[in-house]
Amino acid sequence: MGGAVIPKIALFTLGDRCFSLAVERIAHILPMVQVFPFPALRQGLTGLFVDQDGAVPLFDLAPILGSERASLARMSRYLVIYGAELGNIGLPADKVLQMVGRDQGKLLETAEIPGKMNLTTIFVVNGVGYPLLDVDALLTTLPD
Amino acid sequence: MLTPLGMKLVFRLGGAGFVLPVSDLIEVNELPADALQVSAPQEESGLLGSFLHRGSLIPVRDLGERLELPRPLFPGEQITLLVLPGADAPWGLAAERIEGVFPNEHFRQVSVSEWIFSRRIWPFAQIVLWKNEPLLHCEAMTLERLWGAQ
Repeated sequence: MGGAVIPKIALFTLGDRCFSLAVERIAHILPMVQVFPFPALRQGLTGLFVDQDGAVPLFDLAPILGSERASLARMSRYLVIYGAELGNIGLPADKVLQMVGRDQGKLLETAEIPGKMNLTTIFVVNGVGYPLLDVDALLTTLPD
Repeated sequence: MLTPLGMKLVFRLGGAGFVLPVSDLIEVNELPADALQVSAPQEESGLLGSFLHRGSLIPVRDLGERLELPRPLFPGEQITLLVLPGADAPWGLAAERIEGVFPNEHFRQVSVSEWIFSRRIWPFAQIVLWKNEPLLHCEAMTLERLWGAQ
């Protein structure tokens, strides 16, 4: 995460996978809304939804997290609106587990985790490892 | 009073919604897809066939193929043919369904980052909201550029 100080981290599940995000980058979280299929989006973006009178793309995290379940993004229960450098983006989540202080767990920098693209930081809390998503970096890897 | 210049047509293709100014529309035809004249091989990619329009054969183009939409049009399927003005001559665009024609006030342009679009597929980026649904805003001239028109 570029060495930035992260005071709080939010923990999520998506299907049988889990992940974490820096709380300061989360604009808000809302129950899943209708996601409209949309043409010509970059690979990895599965549609658009309307949030606060704007159109926001949904970023399919399933392949990033190594899940093979198709359509996980649209079937999830929540949308996490993340303030990315490129603009707001929706991330799917099934459960919002907890928001914890950075000092309540341990950040591990790892070599690239097999089967999980570009996930190199794990936040370990209570013995469970949550990949800490650097969404800005992930978005730059999406092919045109 | 509403005028055609102040209206937009909403149509669907491949599950996605599109909007087109009515001023960019010459006419609309309903016909089975196999009513199109097809000569093989099709030299132009994304060409469904030809259609006799006011005494002239015009090309009927497949926007779904050009935009890499998941669902192709199948032979025998009923299609809606939008006849649009072109740089040199009219041309046809196949749609699956028309939602209707609505006044401009029903649409609101929203800003999105151009980054979300694949520049390889779609060089334009204008989205409008209609009934709280994002639609891709198209114009006849810009659409034709997808097939190489200047």
